[in-house]
Amino acid sequence: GVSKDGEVSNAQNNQSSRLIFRVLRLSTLIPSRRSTTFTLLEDLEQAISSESITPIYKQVIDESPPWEGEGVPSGVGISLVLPSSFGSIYVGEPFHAIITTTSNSTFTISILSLTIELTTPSNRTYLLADITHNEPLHLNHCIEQLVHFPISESGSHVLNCTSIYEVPGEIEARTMRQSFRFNVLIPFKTRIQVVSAGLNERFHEISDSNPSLSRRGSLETEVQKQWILRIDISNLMQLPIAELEPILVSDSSPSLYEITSLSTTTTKGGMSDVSEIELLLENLKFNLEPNDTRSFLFDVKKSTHSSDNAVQSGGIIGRLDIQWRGAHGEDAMISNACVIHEPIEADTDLSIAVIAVPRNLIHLEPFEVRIRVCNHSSVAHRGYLQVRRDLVDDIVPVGVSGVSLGTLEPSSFTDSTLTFIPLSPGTRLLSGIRAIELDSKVSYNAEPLTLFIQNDTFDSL
Amino acid sequence: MEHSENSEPERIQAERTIERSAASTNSGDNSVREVLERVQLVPPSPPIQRFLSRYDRKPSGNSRSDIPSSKHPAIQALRELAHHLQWVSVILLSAQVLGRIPLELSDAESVNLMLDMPELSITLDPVAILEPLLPHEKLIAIMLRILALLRIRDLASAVAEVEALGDLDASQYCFESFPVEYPNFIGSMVPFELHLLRVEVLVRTKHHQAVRDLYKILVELDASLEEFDNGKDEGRCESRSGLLRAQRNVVLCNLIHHHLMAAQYDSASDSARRLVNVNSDDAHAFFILSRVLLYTGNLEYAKLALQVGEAKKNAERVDVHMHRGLLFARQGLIEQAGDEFEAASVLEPEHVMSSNNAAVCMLHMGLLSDAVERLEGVFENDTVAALDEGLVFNLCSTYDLRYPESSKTKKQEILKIARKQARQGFNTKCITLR
Repeated sequence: GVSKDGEVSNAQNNQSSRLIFRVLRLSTLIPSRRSTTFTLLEDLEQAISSESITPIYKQVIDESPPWEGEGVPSGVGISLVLPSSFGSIYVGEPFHAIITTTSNSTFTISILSLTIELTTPSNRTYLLADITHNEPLHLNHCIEQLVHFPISESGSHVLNCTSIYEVPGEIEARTMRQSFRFNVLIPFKTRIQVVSAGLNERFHEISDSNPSLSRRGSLETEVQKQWILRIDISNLMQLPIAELEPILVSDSSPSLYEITSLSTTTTKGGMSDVSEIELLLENLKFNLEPNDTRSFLFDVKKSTHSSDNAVQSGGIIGRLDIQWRGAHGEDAMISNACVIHEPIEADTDLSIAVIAVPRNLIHLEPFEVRIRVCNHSSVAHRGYLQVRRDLVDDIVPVGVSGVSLGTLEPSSFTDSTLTFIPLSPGTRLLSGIRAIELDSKVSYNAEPLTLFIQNDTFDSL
Repeated sequence: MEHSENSEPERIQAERTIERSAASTNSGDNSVREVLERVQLVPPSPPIQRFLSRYDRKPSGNSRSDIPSSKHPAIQALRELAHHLQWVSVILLSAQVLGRIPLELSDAESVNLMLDMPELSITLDPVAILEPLLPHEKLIAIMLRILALLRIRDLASAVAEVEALGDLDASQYCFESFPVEYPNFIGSMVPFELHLLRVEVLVRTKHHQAVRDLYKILVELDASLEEFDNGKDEGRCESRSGLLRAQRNVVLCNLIHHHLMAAQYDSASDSARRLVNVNSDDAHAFFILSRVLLYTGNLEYAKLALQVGEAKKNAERVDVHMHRGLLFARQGLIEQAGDEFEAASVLEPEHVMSSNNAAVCMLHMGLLSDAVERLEGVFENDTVAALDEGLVFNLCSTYDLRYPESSKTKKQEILKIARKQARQGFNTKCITLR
């Protein structure tokens, strides 16, 4: 974990380096993971017969061996261990390190100054520490310095440590410079999709208590514009991350857009200790495994008071910040990951989009999906909503795979629901949904949606 | 086949059957059995008596028989050695009793010498320990052997042992396959721990899907406990219930470990939640949950779990301070974390991990020299307890920072001490010599 690779750029010091720099990257402190203890249960049988006071089944989790190295009851210990390597570092994560400057001179040298700088790929240099150290530095004594810097660029970074010091008997001061290089990687790949919903109504996520229903409404684009914003974030890191959350920051003040996340959390009144924790554990944010993709849906509304019906384009809905918790436990954030614009008006007669899915999807438990079909044209269309079974992934329709939409009047929309069932857990694609215009036989496909299917809970076993 | 409690005549008959089995190696002759059944009962000879006294069957549930505990001297010796973490001795002795090494009297003597340890609470007879094992005893010996191989990190040999076992659900591991040795026993004779060890070995060879087997075991345990709770367990007794609950706790802990190692934090949290649900009055279960939640970053819930655990009757102050310290450390409140670890250290000065964690906090606060001093102090005061891979690695890392020129020398000293005093299986790779 301690880095000593670097280059001495001052030629005068090549032969006798009196100072040595060392860097240890510090990560967030998380208890160590160790092999779990193997309890030889026959010993416990003897304990039963000896009427031990502590119930024997509790001894399993109470007792731990003398050393954590032998294992801990649950495999997660109580010791904190320093990182074994520098590891990968990604944009958005903080760079936190301890840097030591140690004298290996037999003379007592005087450190005049110590400077630590970080140079980024854009050639900007940030001063992390600038110390004037008046006290002498004896052999094997060291100066310790903590540095902390948020990483905002990808690419090669260079940590430069420079010290100016005096040696007794020498007239001129000496300079010792050592550099440590590390590469910052890009953590995510993002895909943004903005789909026009064109409604004047707010739509809600389907809950278990609301039966499916079909709703119709009118598109009143001159009053209020509405979109479904979908953000797909793929984890390019080698380790999983937790608490991934995209945040939309409005670019204008006051904001022209009302942005609402379509992910909701349930709350109940908790009473007992266990039920309270159960309740809270239901609201755990998702983890994102390496190379995994998570989709996030937002409802975006724009209030326009103008009676001008001209198509608006190029407007900036907002900027995307992404925050997460890294594998080493650090809180990380990328600001301005991308800019989200209003879409250009649809040039198709019909458009189709999935507008609501339940939050918690359980393996082999059916769930309802609400789909909105909009008629952007000036003529009526007869529509049919269908699921193409040859295009579905492991999320398949239950019962009928199509419903009639009836006649969509000009500038109107209709909501319908279809029931699906996930056949396997994990990240799965909801695909194959399309709307067919019955007269022209033109089909309009909904964008596939990436959903996360949870395993069955133990309670359901 | 339902099992019924043994009445006295049946027990005598069972003993006669085993006696005949001991006397004649390949007896399958029913006529001989019938004749012996008419023989007047005589006191068994001392060797036979030892053979018979080796197991004492306990009442069991209505679906399968409990695995009889073993009083074979070799099995007792192996367990004793495992309890004292003498893994090399376990490997040597298990090789002998399993017939892997040719039997010589000198071997028996050497076994006796090897077992001549003051910690052992039993007196060993080098001849008795080499008596033949019953099938279920062999499995116990293999189980302890695999455990020992894992502990000294000889994964290849552990894998070979597991592969040699084959399918643990096969009929060859059922009592019914040995009606002579185990009359009135039904079900599997595979020790519970052997299932877990098999999964552990497979997971270490990247077969992570083996973890699913733990879920199967969990389902069976849940079903058995449900039968017990509903009064349907005919052999209902509290000890059996306690053992089943202990097994369930072990499986859940193993699941937490495997999921964490695979970075499946949601599944680990789920298993920890389950552990809490079935041990709702135990502080340690909540502490485990709290630690697991620190991995997922759900600090609010980790704090809640910790608060609930603190309020339990069996919560010890040292554990409370340690877990508060871990929570603060995770939150980045290093000074508060250091205070909590210091408080734990004051309560129990011999608690080496509190000193270790306090030293790490000092490092994070830029107090490198203090951190080195603290870790060295722990090492000098209680070397054996301090020979933990994590603590030793921390010490070596601080040496690299603090004494870049002489760190190698210091680490070589630690390596010498570790080779002399560390437990068997101590991983010396944590002492990074550069």
